[in-house]
Amino acid sequence: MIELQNVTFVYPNGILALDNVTLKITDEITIIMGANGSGKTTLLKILACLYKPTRGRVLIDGRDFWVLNKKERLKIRRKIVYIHENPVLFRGTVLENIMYPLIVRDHHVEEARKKALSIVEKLGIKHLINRRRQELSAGEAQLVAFARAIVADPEYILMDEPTNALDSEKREIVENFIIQLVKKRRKFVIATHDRLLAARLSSKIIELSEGKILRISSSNELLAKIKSILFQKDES
Amino acid sequence: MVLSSEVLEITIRSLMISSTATILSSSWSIPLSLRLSSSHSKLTNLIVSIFNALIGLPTVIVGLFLYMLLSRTGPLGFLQILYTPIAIILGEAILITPLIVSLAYEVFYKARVEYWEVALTLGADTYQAYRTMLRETLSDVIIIFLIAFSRALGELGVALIVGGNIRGFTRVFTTTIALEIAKGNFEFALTLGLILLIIISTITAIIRILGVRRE
Repeated sequence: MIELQNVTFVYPNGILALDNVTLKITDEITIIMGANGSGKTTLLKILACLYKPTRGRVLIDGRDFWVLNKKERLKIRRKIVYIHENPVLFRGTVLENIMYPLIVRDHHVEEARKKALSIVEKLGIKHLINRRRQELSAGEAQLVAFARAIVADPEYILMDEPTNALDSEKREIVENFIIQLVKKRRKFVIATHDRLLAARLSSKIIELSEGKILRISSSNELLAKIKSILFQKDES
Repeated sequence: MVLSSEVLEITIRSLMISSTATILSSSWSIPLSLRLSSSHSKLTNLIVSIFNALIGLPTVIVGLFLYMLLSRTGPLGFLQILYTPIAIILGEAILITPLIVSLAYEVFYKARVEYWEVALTLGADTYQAYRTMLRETLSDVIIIFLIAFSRALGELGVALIVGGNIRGFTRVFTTTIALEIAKGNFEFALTLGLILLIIISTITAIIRILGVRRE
């Protein structure tokens, strides 16, 4: 379980991004919603142990991450993966990119290649394996970033606007994959503006505003809200 | 013939000294920039600001500072390296350190979000993440290396003060040009100036080609 206790994060330029946030990631899929600049990305990066909070504690399975030694931190960090909103791919081919998480975990190259090929096949992007980053569309790059993130089978997958650049077909592939991974007891935290995605996937929705948690609600509540908006439109 | 062999000797010595100085300076400046780019603290900002301010440091000041350190009565006088190529290498390495640190910090800082964070979240340890970041920014690092090399090659103050402009030993492009002009031997000075110009122009062209390729 990932837990934040009274976490505040201030950027070096003085901008307060998170203000005394306390939360536990217990559900299979947690959605974080909020306007631009509400602190969604900062929250994800703190959950991913990429940013050290200015104040407060980040507990992973009950252990305070930022007081651990380097070796223990690496072990914990390898359980969590964060996928950027604008996917960043490395030099080299798509296949080399997807093999990266396995190579840094000291997997044998052949074994890494096998696993990477199995993932690209499941995601329907096998035809992209020899392409380089500049030869991919935004949607393709997002799928490759997703494949690269899950190839090493992390416990927690944190996604920032995961379906932004995807068409409906690719969106469905990703959503189905998320559901499959949830069945394997993987946990997702997804920051999104997409209310329908939130309602479809999540059991818990956290709304952020100006670095604070505004409310925590269930997907049923969100669905009811969407329905009421749609009905209002129909009536008018 | 004597003249051309001397020109060749000065050219080779100048290139050797400046390239060694650039490699030496890069050996501490690049790791320092990588370390600075991975920190968010106010101390980091202060250190980077100091290095930025030191880019324009006059070469004679570095020369004078090093002379005081390396002269017989200075704290490092026992090394007996004053008026040797080693002293020039040290001086040039110190001179170009702020330039390399400032430029490399900018490159690594921008690459931090893009590559370093991604590498870490994909399971790389700190060393693997730094290596990934360095690989991704290699063309920028080469450009910085060439800019620093040009600066080292074209400086005069350090080479003159701690090198002593000794014929056949510490005489380099800039010190020879200054000496030959003082002697009224413009032809020789112009020949060396032309070679220096060709080298610097070639480096600039390489930088431009690498820059275009990177974009």
